[in-house]
Amino acid sequence: MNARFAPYLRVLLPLILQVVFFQYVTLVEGWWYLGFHLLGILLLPLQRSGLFVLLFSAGMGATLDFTCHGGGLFMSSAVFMGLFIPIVNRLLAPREGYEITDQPTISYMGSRWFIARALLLLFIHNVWMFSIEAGRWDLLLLAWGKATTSAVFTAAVFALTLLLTQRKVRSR
Amino acid sequence: MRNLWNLITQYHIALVFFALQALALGWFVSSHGYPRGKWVQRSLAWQGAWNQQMGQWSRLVELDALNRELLAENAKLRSSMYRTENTGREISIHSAQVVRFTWTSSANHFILNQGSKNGLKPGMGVSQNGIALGRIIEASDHFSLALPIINQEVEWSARIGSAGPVARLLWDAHDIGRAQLQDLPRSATFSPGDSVLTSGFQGYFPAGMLIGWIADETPEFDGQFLTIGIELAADFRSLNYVEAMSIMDWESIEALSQSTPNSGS
Repeated sequence: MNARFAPYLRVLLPLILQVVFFQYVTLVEGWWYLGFHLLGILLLPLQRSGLFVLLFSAGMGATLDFTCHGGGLFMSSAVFMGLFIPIVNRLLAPREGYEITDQPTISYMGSRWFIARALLLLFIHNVWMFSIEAGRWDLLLLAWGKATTSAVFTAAVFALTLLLTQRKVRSR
Repeated sequence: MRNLWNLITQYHIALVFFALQALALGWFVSSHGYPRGKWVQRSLAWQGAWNQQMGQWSRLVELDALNRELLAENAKLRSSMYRTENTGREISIHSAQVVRFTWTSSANHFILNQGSKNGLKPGMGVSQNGIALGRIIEASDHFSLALPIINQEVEWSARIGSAGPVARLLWDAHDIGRAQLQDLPRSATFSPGDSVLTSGFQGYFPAGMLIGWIADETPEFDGQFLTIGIELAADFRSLNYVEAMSIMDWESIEALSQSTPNSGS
């Protein structure tokens, strides 16, 4: 495949898969929610500005809302996660900082870095999404429980997906 | 002016974040539970077609055709049955298939493979084998979007038994097999296992359709009214073929109630 289109495909393919397939997946009574489109946001290049990440996340979430009757829920959660991406990136940065060629994948940054970043960001996303979706104080604990289990499940699926689809470049 | 510009450039990410959140949350608050409008209709047309395709792949074709015939026949029979039971009030019933159902959210919805061109329209009730399920809130040409009883944004009018007290039925988003009957007068008499039926007051269903049964638990008393648990009759995990119904003269009843001096209260 043409290398020029690979980054776009890597970001858009998860969204397409979420819309046509993963939105139908209901596992363990909703305790394992899989937001596959979030992989596209997580795979945005590390060098992208915070503003770009926010706008891209908003677009991604809004597309899902339009196609899956989310009514703004996915957009709000994606934007909330997008705000934290630069912060988490700084938090997990190697001592010497990121190199210009670094990509937020297992093959470039290693599985520990990827899983820690994915877990943190997915947890932030899911807590926001499930809390808003619950809409009542007495459902918050249940929502946070679902957010935690779903974040662990989704991070595992993302790691597995990358391990199966990407060639190993180098590990830091 | 320069200070303002400096402030904006310094905090532009926070400003964009709040603007996008305001947009998303505004959208959410305005549409949550009742997604309506032109876009929903377009989205329904696309998503309904895709959902149907997904369903077709996982279905046995012969059994499906047989089910459709049986459902259409059931719809006709129920239609004539309700007409007889409901003092001559005409009820039109259309068969449909559920092509998408969410049951893990607090604002669940389902999509039917029939739309306005098949006679379905917002305000129609949806049932399965005589059990009340929900109501249609939006219809495109070939698909309809409906809210089930297990959506915490909507409330239903229900009656205990055929002549018991009427109360509000709500779902608390905890268990898809249970709902709550609220605002029952404390003088109401009932026992666990008593049927909970539609009251017919909202116009989505005729009176007397089964919703569920009173659960075997102690009622809650808030000083004035009782709240009791209901075991829902519908199995929302396995919905497939359903019936959409409309009470033919309901619009004239609505118009009559609108013309009363206290209408709108």
